[in-house]
Amino acid sequence: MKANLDLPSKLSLVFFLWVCAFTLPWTFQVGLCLLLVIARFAIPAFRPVSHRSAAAFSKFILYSITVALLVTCLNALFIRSGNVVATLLGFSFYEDGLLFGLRTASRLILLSFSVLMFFISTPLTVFIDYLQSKGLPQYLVLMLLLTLHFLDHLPSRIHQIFLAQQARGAPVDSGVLSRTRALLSILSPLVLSSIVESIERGTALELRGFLSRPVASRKPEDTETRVNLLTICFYFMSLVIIAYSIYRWLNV
Amino acid sequence: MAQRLTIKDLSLQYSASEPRALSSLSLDVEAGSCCAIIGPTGAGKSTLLQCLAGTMRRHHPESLATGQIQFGETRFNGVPDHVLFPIAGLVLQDPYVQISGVRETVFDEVLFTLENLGTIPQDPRQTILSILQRLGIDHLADRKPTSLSGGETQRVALAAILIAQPSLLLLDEPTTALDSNAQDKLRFILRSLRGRTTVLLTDTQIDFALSPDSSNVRAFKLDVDPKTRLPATGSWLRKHSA
Amino acid sequence: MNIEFKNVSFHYQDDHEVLDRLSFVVEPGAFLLVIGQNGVGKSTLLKLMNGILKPTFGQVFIGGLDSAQHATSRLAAEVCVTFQNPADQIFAPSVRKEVAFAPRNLKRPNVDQLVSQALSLCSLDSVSSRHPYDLPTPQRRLLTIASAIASGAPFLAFDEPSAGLSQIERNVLERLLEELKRDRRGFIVVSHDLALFLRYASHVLVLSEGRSVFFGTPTKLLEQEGYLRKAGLKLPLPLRLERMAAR
Repeated sequence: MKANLDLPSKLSLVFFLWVCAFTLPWTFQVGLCLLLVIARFAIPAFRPVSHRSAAAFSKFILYSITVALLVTCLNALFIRSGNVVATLLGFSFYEDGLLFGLRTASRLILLSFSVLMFFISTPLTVFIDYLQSKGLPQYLVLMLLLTLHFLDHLPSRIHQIFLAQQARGAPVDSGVLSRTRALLSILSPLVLSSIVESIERGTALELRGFLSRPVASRKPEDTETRVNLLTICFYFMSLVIIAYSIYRWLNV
Repeated sequence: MAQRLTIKDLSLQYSASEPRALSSLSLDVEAGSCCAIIGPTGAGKSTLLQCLAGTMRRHHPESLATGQIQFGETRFNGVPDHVLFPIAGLVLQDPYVQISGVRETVFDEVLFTLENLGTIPQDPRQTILSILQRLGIDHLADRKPTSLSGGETQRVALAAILIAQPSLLLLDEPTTALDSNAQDKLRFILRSLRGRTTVLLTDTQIDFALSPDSSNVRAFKLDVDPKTRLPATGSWLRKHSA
Repeated sequence: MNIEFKNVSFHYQDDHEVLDRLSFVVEPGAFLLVIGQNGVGKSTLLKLMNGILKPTFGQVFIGGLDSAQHATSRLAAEVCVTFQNPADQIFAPSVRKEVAFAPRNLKRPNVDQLVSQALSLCSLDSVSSRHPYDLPTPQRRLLTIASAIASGAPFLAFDEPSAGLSQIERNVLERLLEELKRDRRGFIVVSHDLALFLRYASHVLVLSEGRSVFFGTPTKLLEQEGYLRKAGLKLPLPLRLERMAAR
């Protein structure tokens, strides 16, 4: 079997991972997360499309590990049932809380990892074209496009406003606390100006005939018409897992 | 085929409770000629272009318009209620919002318009490159459209409209981000469209339209009543004889 | 208290925009007009001016402070830089608050006075309690100019401050330039708009491909029009007509 990871199979993989996140035990989920990180470096189809998205991925891994550890520790501290696993500086960590924390954290990470992986390795162009070729209403495609663009450009807009604030003497460059305060103060105007810009952007696309675009303007290529074996595989595994979970749930 | 644009007694309010944004405007632009609408902020320049492009009723369904717009054989009572692309092509003032963000090169960005229209010629390469060349941006064909400067982006936005060969070209303050070199190129393009495309552009300054280099551009001045700050009917401007 | 560029070179990591060995001095009360074609690094020059970017080679001194060794928020007290796109810098919920942002941060003793003065110079006093996004675009640009004036910094730097302004706002801009000249405020203006700014400039810097091809007084520039052509620029129409009449 040729490992041809095209867009539909990647989508099916995301679906499969989401099913796993809600059904499988946490140890599997941690394993899947590790596999995803390995895949990002090993499988060409998962390589980030730009330096920026590569940086975003690395940053996300760092943040999520921090958050996971924090969530787990807090749960272990405050859900006081089961055996005491360890005692550190007078604080006791409990087994049930620890497990609950691990379950929550690993689920959250797998959910977000899979989506992030999809978006950093798929150029917006390809994704939008795919949705159009599948006959998604043009209006929805436009909305999605504007939303993705908004999210994509949010960091650079925040950066621009920070620069402008610094240029007017704001001590944005000194410490996390002042940065956070500054970020909170610009949040609402930022969203407001972005919405104004999104409307303009939508108008511009409309002015180029985007909404009246003929549905099959791009000829579907051969690979798209032939359903990929991998895609079937992922959906099939998802189905099996769902069926098994329902079976177990009915027999408890 | 170039067509004549006639606007008769056009008035517009964004809603019943708001004052007029256009007031009894009458304007006649000959087929294939170029007209510059000049006037201060609030005189209704951009409003007029939106009316002609057909975005006004879509974005402000509660707007009220009286009068007539006629382009060639097509006549509208009030303003059109649908986007007239590709008959009319409007290039907005802010260049950056006109980049779709779904194409990776300037070339593909221009091709994107043709994809929307569903009319991709046998050899799009030649058609697109010649447009880029006329605008002096053929060296940018392989660049990422979001990485360009303001003036460059503006010309890409113009190319993305021109490729559809609109018979009415509407340009909202096209000279804002352009240095004098790029303005010269714009004049050259406008001259090359003469006889084929009817062009309406807006400008806050009279320099561009009244320069002896733009001999083919006529200037129409929209004004604001100094007392009420509301738009007044416009008039044609005479040129310097330099 | 000068702004001094000493043999400054700059390139971005991907090498796409470059400034090459620039040297010049802007004295208090001077007006430096920076011109050149689209994309020759004029905006980069402004970012070097308040330390948002640090020179790759050479040094920038702002009022005697080396830009590489001081935070932008400190340098902002000496030179207030305003960028091109108003949408990227307006964030306060009212015009007055937006204008008061800089003097508050810089801990100026007379914030209210600075704000009122800036608002009236820019003819914005009647709209001072409005939300900035309720203003039409040209007035929003005037708002960014008012915000800079209120900073009280001895030098003000602008990127295309006249872009998109109609004659009414251009008149406002001219009036305030004259007013501030009397206060001995220094200006660094990056613009294509020779028609408006050449009259106020005490010095002109012509950039071409990142290099300075001319630095001197406007009179000298007009005598040697070749420099303009070299930078791909042309004299504005009114000035050309004047010169034709003089000949």
